[in-house]
Amino acid sequence: MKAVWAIACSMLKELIRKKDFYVLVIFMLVLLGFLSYQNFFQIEGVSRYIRDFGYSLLMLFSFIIAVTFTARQLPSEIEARTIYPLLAKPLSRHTVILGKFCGGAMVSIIAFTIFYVIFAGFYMAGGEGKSLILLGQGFIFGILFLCMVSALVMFFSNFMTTSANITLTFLIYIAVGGFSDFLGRMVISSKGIITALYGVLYYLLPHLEFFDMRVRITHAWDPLPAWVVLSLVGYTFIYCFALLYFAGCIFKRKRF
Amino acid sequence: MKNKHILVILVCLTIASLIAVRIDVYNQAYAAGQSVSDAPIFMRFLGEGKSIVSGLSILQADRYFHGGVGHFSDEHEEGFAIAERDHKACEHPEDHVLPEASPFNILFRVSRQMDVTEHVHLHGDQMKEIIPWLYYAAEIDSRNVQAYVLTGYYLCDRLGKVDQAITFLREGLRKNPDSWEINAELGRIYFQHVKNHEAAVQYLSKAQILIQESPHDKFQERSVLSLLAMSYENLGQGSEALPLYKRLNELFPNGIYEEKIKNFSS
Repeated sequence: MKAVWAIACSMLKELIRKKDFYVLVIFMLVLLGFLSYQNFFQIEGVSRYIRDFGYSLLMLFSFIIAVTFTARQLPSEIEARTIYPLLAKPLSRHTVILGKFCGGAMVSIIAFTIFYVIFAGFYMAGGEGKSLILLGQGFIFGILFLCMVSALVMFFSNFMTTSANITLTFLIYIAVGGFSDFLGRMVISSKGIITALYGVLYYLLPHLEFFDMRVRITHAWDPLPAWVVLSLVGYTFIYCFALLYFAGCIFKRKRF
Repeated sequence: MKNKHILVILVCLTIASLIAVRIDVYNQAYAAGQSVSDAPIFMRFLGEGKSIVSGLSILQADRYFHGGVGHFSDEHEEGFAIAERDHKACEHPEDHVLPEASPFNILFRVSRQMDVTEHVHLHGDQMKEIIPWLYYAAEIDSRNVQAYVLTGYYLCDRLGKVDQAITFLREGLRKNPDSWEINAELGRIYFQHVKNHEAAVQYLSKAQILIQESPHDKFQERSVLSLLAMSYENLGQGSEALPLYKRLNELFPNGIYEEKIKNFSS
């Protein structure tokens, strides 16, 4: 555990050193500040579009940070040959993968928390239908989403270059958001081999769309029942565990 | 040697100035043939794509109207009238429900819980939430007449901002002088909300002329003609209203305009 923590902490230092994060924070502050000062025909209290933009921005920025930080870890270590001293230490390959995953997830969760605090400030500042439960659920789902993304990127980084990994993760994110509903319908409505095909795709693809609370938070819908939140915590844990386990197995077979 | 350099610089500057004047004249002539664009520079980068973005902004307004859920295609594919929409959705709720899955399939159950599918409409003061999207739709593409008309309607009829609606529609009319829709909307607002029948006649007459030059259906023509006829009636100009009622009777020969025609004919 100490080794995992040490690897994760080295990634946190990278977040502090990099300027990307600060640029994103300033951009978010400026954009949300600008939107909240917009005056539409002297109508007061227009808030939903600010929530909408705010939530979308924070999820996108956190996703970008999670993907870019995690995707760089293994390939850059291998390229710079700094992986050798790491592997020379009494660490299992699974521990290295777990440490890198924890680092990526921790970095993106810290960035996400800062983005979320800014968003929560604007959320609480005005508009109707404010709900602390929804806000809390949004925060939990954001963390689960980033864990899932970090695990996915860590898995791909075993056999892909950084740029290919980033591109593929973005494509999966877009495809899952756009087609998982269609896939779900096809699993239920189609028959025979096609069902199996759609079923494999539906159950194998990471359901990143489950963590999207944008519509609920923006339009003040009811919070989700506790069993759904718990199910998603379980789903994320199982999915991340499986991805990291296979990532560790692939990494174990690698010869440097 | 030094003088030579100054001479070269002067010659270059003179040639550049002459070329710049020619380019400016060309630009002015080109711009004169184009519609006036007050859009900010980043909007101009969108080029013709701005009409797509503007359309998406209107769709987003429709989503907001339904509490963030897209019901646009359900409501418009069969051409339901606004008042009928809720009724129709309630009549066939099975069309809006996904097929059944196994109760043990936790992923499907979670997915169903996550999706917001309830059919709701914004009401009262909540209506203001769609205004930013309509405003941006008009800002992004000043030729999007629908954006101006919808904004005018919601501002005036739902939010009680009559003056702002008129100002915004006039701005739309300045950018789209040949739009019968904006003229008709301005006429309607002057007739229904301001009770300024002279102004209503001015805009509705323009709309009546313009609607003949563009594709339209008889319901759209009725909306213009009936308001124009009533405006003339309120101004005591029955003779002007008579041909309009006759035309309405031609469009909808169901007898409801016959009494009016009889009154004004006598």
